[in-house]
Amino acid sequence: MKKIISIIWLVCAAALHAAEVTASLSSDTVPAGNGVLLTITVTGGSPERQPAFPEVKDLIINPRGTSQQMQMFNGNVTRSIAYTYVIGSNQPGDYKIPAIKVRVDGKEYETQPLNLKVGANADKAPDGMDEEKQPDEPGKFGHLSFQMIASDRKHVYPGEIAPVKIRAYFPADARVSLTSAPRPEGSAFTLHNLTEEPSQSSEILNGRRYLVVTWFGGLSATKAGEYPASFVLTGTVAVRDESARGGRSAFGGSLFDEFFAPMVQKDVELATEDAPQIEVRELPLEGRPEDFTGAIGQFEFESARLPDSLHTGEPFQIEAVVKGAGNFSLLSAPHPLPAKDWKIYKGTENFVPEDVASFGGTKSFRYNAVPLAPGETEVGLGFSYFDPEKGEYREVKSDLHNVSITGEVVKPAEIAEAVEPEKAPPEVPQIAPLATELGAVGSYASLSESGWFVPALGSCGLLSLGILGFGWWKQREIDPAKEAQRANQLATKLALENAAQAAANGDAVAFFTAAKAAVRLGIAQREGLRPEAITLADLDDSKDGMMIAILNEADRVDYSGEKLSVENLKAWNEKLDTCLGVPAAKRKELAA
Amino acid sequence: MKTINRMIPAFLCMAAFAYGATADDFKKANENYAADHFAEAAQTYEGILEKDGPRVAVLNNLGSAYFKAGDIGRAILAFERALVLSPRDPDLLTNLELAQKQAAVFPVSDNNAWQAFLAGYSARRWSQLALFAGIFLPLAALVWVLMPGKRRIALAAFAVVNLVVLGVAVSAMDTKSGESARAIILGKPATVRISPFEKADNRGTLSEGREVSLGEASHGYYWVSADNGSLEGWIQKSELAPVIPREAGW
Repeated sequence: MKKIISIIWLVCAAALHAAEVTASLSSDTVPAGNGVLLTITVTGGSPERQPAFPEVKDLIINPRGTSQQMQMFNGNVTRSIAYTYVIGSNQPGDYKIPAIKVRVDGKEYETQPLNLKVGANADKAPDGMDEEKQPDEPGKFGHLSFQMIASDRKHVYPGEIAPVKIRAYFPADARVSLTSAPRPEGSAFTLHNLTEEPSQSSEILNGRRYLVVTWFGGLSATKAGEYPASFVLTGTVAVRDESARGGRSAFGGSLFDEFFAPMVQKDVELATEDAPQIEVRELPLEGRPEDFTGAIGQFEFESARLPDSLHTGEPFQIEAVVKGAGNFSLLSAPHPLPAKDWKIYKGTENFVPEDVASFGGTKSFRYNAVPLAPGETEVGLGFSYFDPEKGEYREVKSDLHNVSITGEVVKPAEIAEAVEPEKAPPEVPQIAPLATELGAVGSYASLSESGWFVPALGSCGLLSLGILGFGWWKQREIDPAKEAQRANQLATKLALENAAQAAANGDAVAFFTAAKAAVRLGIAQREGLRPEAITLADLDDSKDGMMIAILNEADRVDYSGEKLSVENLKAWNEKLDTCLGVPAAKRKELAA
Repeated sequence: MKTINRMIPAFLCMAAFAYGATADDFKKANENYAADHFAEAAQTYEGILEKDGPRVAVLNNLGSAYFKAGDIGRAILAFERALVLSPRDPDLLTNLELAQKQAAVFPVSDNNAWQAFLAGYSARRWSQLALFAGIFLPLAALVWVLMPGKRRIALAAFAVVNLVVLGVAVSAMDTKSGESARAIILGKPATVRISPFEKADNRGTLSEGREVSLGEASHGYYWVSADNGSLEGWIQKSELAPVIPREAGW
């Protein structure tokens, strides 16, 4: 509550301050057809209504919005309201925006007058394109329309550039993603200088709002005959599915119905319906001037500059500017008249378009020429073109200019190489020279992006590990220590078998010989020593008592020659097996 | 067998014919360039690339043609694509630097010597190196098993070098994996929107020739990130082009 009271107090306090009304332009110059922002700011008061604009001829004013701002500085509150307008004109000229009246808190205020300069428009449509030609009811996903030259001419000539306007109509609430610019259907026509950034506008057609995308370009015929001038445009259009709105709405209103209706997306190819048949006529041979270079349209001199005095054999520079509309690309430099008295060299030319389709504009030429014959003469410049409206060739001559040419008659061959104009220095920084060798085809893709790469690399790693494992296993097989161990085990087994056999036969000498060998082999295997190197001193009394007893008994029998009974020998054999750790089952087998 | 014997010469003839046609187009494009017909030259170079696939020479000349024609964004794109194939080509590096200066695009230089070394070869070259190193590993292991005695020491040194090469190549491939997300702005300028729709509010603009990082695609727009994420949003696909062309979904 305290906050609300504070805000009311602040607003009231702000109202007590004197109001101020100002107007400003975001730029004081603008091309025709474009707009600048005009902002009217009311500070320190509450306007009672929108600012009132006096009418200015050809000036277009569209409101854009209102914004409010509140500032508090050292306890002083300032509130400002800004009214924003887009202002511009389609007609070039200097416009004066008079004082705009704003009534604030019962008092009338005025802004200061403003000046706006509207310049020529290079983005304007080609002449004759202003008339709107609206299509029939567009389809659900859109419609393409096509408008050719303003006149009713239904024929063109090969090489002629005819300005066209192509408009695509889409439902206002559609989401449109174009995948191509408009292009002619078939091979009879080509489209030149199509606007890279088409203009977008909103239009109401048959009571429904549409998003309209407009391109301008030049249509050129490639071959004689009669062909339909049809264009296609591809893209993806998503519109709300009106059929899904059936039944009662939970919200009871069409706004919500539209908002919640599902979007239907479709890849569309829009084509111009009822494409007009255009006759492409061959250029007539009759009456074709010798200097005709293919220029078709309407052209005239804007200016031509020649010096007053010249000297034969010495080059001078000719400058000429031609204006008009047509295929400027095929318009060559005007030549001095009469042509046989001059030698001319190729120069530079520069075209400045006046519309987005590069149809109308001016082309300036600058080149060197050398007079070949002396005398006082009237010199002019000339060129020729084909007028498609009248269907005839036209020769254009500039105003004649008195020129005094001194010197002797010069033959063209004498000066051909001497006066070749120097090449103008490049305007752009130099880049590395072009490659002249074609080279091999490469690939952006890394091998690692192939599906086989990782498995192949992994297989190599696993294979390496496998090979190393196999090598280790084989190495283990041929290890001398292991070999000796296996031989020892075999010899021990053989000695035990011999001992068991001798015990069964009652041969005490053979038994104890085999027993000593078995004990030595067993100890050698355990201690890692050679069997023949084993002595009684190597044995531990506490651990190897039984083995010591067997060895002692063997020495005693060996020296005494005493004969022991079979039972006695079997008992010693049992002890032998026990101390060498022979399993019971094995012992039984040996005993058997 | 006879069929194969007949097919090989026929295939070689066709390949020679195709190469001859491409060489003619290339020569014609160079002539157009020399005659200051840069747009026509660029169109022919584009045709060669579309027909045959990427070539360093064609991409270099294409970039030069676009540069001369004033289409700096496409010039930078062509030079960048050529550098993907041949990262250390001095002509390409010079041309790219010039085009970037012309477009007032100033890339952040990477002073990291290790990264510079890894960037010195293409991803394809690193992957080839990794594959060779991978193939040599089992061979080295096999020789290790079969070779007796002290010669194994040299083999062990070779195997260690091989493993190092493999590790470096894998690291380089990892570094290069970000290349597929690089894209160059072609719009003059391109508008960055907060949503992938034409009527969505602008978040900013990016001038032609700028490099961005591509994210997901939606409704004909790409999510992009520029200047280390300081500007992110959606840009219409027609206003940019990935450095490594994408066939699917483009």
